Parts: sequence; structure tokens; C-alpha cells
Amino acid sequence: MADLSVNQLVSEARKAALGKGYSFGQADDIARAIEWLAGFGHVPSDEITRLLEAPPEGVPLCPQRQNQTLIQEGQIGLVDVMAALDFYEAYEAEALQLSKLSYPAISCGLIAKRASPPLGQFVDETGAMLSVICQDAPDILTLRRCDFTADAPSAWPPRITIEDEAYQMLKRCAFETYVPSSDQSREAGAGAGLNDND
Amino acid sequence: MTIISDNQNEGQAGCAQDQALALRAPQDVMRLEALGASFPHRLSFKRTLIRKLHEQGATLTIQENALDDEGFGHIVLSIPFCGRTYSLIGYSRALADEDRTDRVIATAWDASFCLFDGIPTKDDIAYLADEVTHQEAGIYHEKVMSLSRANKSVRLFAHVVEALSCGRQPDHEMIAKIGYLMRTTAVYGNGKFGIADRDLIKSHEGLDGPFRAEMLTVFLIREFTFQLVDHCALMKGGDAAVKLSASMRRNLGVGNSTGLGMAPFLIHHPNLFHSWILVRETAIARCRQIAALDEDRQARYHALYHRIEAHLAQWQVDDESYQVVIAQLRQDWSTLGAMIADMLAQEMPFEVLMRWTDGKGDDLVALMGSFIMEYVPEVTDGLEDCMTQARDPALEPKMTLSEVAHLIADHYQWALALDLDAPESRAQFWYVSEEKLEPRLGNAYEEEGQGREMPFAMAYYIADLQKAMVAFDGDALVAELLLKHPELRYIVRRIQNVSHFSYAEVHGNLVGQTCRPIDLLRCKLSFFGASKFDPRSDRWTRITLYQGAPTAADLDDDAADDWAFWVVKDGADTPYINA
Repeated sequence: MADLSVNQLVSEARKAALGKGYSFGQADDIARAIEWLAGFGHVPSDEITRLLEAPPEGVPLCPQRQNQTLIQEGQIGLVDVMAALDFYEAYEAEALQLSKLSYPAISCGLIAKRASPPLGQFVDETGAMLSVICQDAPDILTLRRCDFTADAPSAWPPRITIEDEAYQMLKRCAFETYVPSSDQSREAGAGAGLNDND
Repeated sequence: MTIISDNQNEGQAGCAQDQALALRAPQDVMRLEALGASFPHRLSFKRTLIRKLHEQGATLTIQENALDDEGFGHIVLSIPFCGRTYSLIGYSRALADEDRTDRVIATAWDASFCLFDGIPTKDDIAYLADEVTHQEAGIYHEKVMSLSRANKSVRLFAHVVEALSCGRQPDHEMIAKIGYLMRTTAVYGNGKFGIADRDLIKSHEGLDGPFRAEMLTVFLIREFTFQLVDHCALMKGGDAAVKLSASMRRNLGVGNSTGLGMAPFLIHHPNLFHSWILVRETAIARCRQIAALDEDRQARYHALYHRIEAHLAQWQVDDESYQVVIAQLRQDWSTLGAMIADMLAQEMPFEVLMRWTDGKGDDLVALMGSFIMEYVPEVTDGLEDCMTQARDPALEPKMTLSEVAHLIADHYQWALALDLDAPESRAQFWYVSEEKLEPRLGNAYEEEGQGREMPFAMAYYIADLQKAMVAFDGDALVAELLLKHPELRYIVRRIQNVSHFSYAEVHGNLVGQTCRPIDLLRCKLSFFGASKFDPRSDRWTRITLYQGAPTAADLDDDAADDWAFWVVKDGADTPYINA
């Protein structure tokens, strides 16, 4: 297990998602979802590993509207959740129905970050958000507008732990965003030459 | 009509965003050139920290001095602050001259530091010795609140040791010219490399303001340099040695070499940046609204005006174009001298002063802003409590595309005016190098790696967005656009954000040939409180922090806050502005 600060995890997650091929905006949403989870001390190591092993998701599924419920069917990836949440807000739907979440914990983070106020804690009909996160995903997760509350973690935990495999995967993918050094970049890229003394 | 006199304390009431104030437009304030002309001011972070330390009656304790005869070992300095105690653990190590570089690519330094939450045990000090001296490569825990390293000024350190060891104070001219015994090359915070998260730090009273832990670290590093140089002189001179005098200490700060690494922060944290600028602009607007000054207050310009004049005279740099700007500034300030008394006697005196700067250059405008904030602290102090911002940019999927188009037209004229097909418009790209993860700027036509650039090409992203929007009706929603174009999520969110946080975006092309990163550096450093910028290139500058600030021994001085635009003097104190 790797022992990290929350910011360390979030920073790596943003770069890793970007390195994996997600767009800047998507990578930012994924990182902030992970940040929200980590704020509760929960790091979804398994989901992080699976997300970064899989090819990047493409164009999102289009959610369907049935009366006041917005339904996203099929196997739902993170970009599908983002799209569903966009339409949920745009149409002011009363309920959002998501089936077969590929990444239930990170999806819940995405949902929570979209609550208003932004750091709102999501609570399902039977209990706290964290009970959903920590268990296997239900086949269908139905969220209702009134489920969003203003509660948020009062403070991040001082440390979090992540499985080594997930952390190594984060670092490998984040590495894809770095540019290899050349003599030119080393000499001039930072603006100070190779040395700067007085 | 409101007459401002002493004992008013309007600044404590309420935060920024006072709707009644006429704030300067983002189109003026957020231009790269305007940002690059910024001056430190009384709401800068090191100023507010010193005020807080003074208010708290903080006193420094030397917990341990474990330096050997050559000045290598460690020192632990502790200071109580707002109910907790923080300690700087400073490790001094031998460093070969050929290994001494301020570049981030360095792997060894003369000294390395961490700010520790509490008083460290011997085990803490022993454990951190190996980690802190390796900086980025170390393994840390949440008791470590910041991480830093510094190199000696080769020019000054040996001279000061030599002079003190012989029983005399160092050469005043050298102190004035260099201004620091050590220069930090990085100060890390906010969870970097596993140290304490900002979320944890901000829960500590007194450290909730932006970069407070980092500013406290640098303040304590300054004290470390005094301890180190006194120790080395004593080891060398024995009974003949004297300590660095109080006035010499006051004239020394901590140097800093700052490169590109600082710039991306302002782009990655648009709402925090907005709050800094908004506070400064609110302070200036409050000053401009003052209807009149009573005669007593009018007469007080003298000390501050002349201190600035002397400060500018001492600001010497090697960069020729910068020196030209400084020379013009001196001339303008001198011209002002013949008129300022009359101006301050007029109605709306600070409005008159600001108007006088119109058309005279960004540096003079910025300097005048700092001057008037310093002149009437009672209307500005307290605003520093509004310099944090917790809200992240949020997507608004319900917004129509015609509304997005209006936002672009209202807030991104600078981008729309660019010729995006011109090669020089996208001549550079920002990236993170594999080598120690250092941010760098590359030539888009000569270097590889543009596919991995940081997302700073706003004008181009806006063009992509406009192109995509053509296929939609104006009534279409952002959610519908993003379903087809998820790659536009980033720029749509930034554009929407600016409608709430108008100072969040830099109005300039950060990837253009003429972009000078040093403009971003100077702006950020001015909020830290840095002065006497000494650019070494268009993307690298040296600065000094805390020069003129009270030392730990002076914190209880009634005039502890009176060190704006410090003038280095030989033994004598600068006259107090508010005396």
C-alpha cells in the first residue's frame, strides 16, 4: 500500500486520466470525483486500476428521457455518467436512473461533485453514500434530486492509502503527459540555462 | 462628504465584491503586461503574516543548534502562532561549488528545510534529515507542512562570515546590492510529495490564508540564515567575532530564484487567482472613493512618497529593458513630487492620483495602487480574509449556446482579435518535463512534445468551440453540445466560470511568440510580497522576500508593519510612515 496526501493522489489521477486519453475537462472531473472520495478516506484502488487498464471511453451514450426521469441504460462508463448528469441538470429531471455502472465509486464521486452546493454529500434512499461506494454496485442506481444534501466531509483525512498496483498504474499513465528532455529544453525550457548562481 | 481621518476601521467590515464600488475592468487589469507590472502591497501575503505574528506576540525559540565547526548539521527554530507551535528544521550540508545551482534539476543544496507542525523530537529530526536533504525524493508525513531548500549567496555569505569573525559588520554596499545570505530555489506546499495537504493546513488558525505556511517557512529560513552566519563567524573568529547587527539583519531578506514553475498555478487555479485580484481591486476602489483627506492626513504623504523614491533608486537590474522601465518610473515619480500635495488636497484625492497615471504605463499604475493602499490602511485591512476561494469552476449544462456565444464576446475579445493562422500565435507550448517534472516552455516549431502540452491555448480552444457551435441552434444546450464534443468540456467550463469570476482569466495569448512568462511570475510574486524583481530572462527572475521586514526579535515593535518599499540604510532606520 502507498501512503499519500490527498492532493498527491488527485494530482496523479488528473494526469493519469489525461495520459490515458481523456480530455482535459474529463480528466479534471475524474480527478475531482476521486478527490471527493478521498476526502472521506475512500480510495477506489480497484476502479482506478480498471479504468486505466481499459481503453479510454469514446463519445458518451445519450441518456433517454421518460417523463421526469432521465435514464442512462447499458454498461455505463464515466463519460456516460458525465453526460447523464449534464442532461439531468439541463432538463431539470426529477430522477436519474443509471444501470450497470462500470465504476460505481468514481461515478458516485462524479455525482456528489455535481450536487449543489458543490461539495454536497449524496445519500441514497436507504442510507449514506459511503455504503453505496463500499459495496458492489446495484444493477440500477436511482438518484433523486432531493437526495443531495449539503453535508460534506469537514476535513480531509491527513493520509490516505492506495493499493500499490493502482498507484503504479497512476504513475505510469501520468508519465504519458510528460515530455522527454532534450538538450534544448534543458538549456532553454525553464529560462535559466543550466546554472544560476551568484 | 466623507473626510478620512485616523481611527477609522472600515476595512474590517465585509469582504470583497462590494457592489457599490467601481472596480477596474478585467480587460485592463488582466492583460499580461498589466499583470507583469504588479507591485507588492499591504495585502500581500508576507505583509499580512507579519501583522498576524505581531498581533499574536510571537517569539522565536532556538530549540537546538547542532552545527559543527564548519557550520554543517541542523538548527531547529520554533515559533508559537495562533495557539500552535511550528518549527523550522534546517539542515546545513557541505556542497561542492560545481554542484551549486538554483535550477530545479539540482539534487543537492547548501541547506534544506521543512516546516514541522509542533516541536520535533530527536527521532523526527533524525528521520527527516535524510528525507528533507533529498527534497522531492524523500518520503514525508502530514507533520511536514512545507519543504524547501536554499543555496548560499556565494558573493555575500563568505564576506559576512569573514567580517563578523574579525569583529566588524559587513560592507553595507554589498548588503544593499545583494540583499540576502541564502536564496531558496523552491518552497513546496499543499501535499506535494506527501507532505500535509492544504486542506489540513487551512484548518489551523492563522495558516488559513493563501500560502501562509510557505510564507512562515521563508520567514523562519531568514532567521536560520542569521543563526548560521553568526555560528560560522564564531567558529572562525572565536572571541574576536561579533554577531550580525540588528540593522544589518533588517536589511537582509531571503533571495529566491523563480522560474516557470510558478506560472501554471495561476491558470490551474482561476478562481483563487480571481479572489486575489478582486481583493486588490476592491482595496484600490475603496481608496479611490474616499472623498477627502483632512489636513493631517494630507501631510503624511511625505515619508511614504520619499521612501518609494529611494526604493526605486535602489532598484538596479542587469536587464536593460527592465532598467529602462525602472528609469521611467523614477522620472514619473519625481514629476509627481511637485504635484502630490495639491492632488491630495483635492476632492477624491486618490481618484485624482490614479487618473494622473492614465497613459503613463502599467508600472506606474500598479505602483500608485500600492501607494494608495498603503496610505489609508483603514479602508483596506481585513480584506485579506477574502483571498481564499473554495469554489471550483462549475459546468452549467443548462446554458444555451447563444449565451455561451455572448460570454465569449464579452470576456474574450483579446482572443477573438488574434490571427490564429499566424505562425507566431502558437509558437510556444507549455509542458512538464520528464526531468524532475519541471514546467517548461517549448518552441512549437523546433521541439517535440506539443501533443502533451498543458491546456493554456485558450484562444484556440475557443475557436474549436465556435466551430463546433455552428452545427447547433442557438437554443441548443451545453449538455447537447458536450454529448457530441466531450473534448470541449474544459473550455466551456472556463468560459462559463468567467461570468461569475471575472478576474479568473489572463487576457493574453500564453502560447504566442510574444508571451513573456515573467509577467505571470511577477504578478504571483507581488501577491507573495516580493519586490525588486531582477529578471534573468523572460521566464526567470530573482527576487528578495522579507528584506526590511521585522526580524523575529522585532516582532513586538509597534511599527512592525511599517516596512513597505523598504530602503536599505546604513544603520539608521527608515522613517516610519505612520509615526
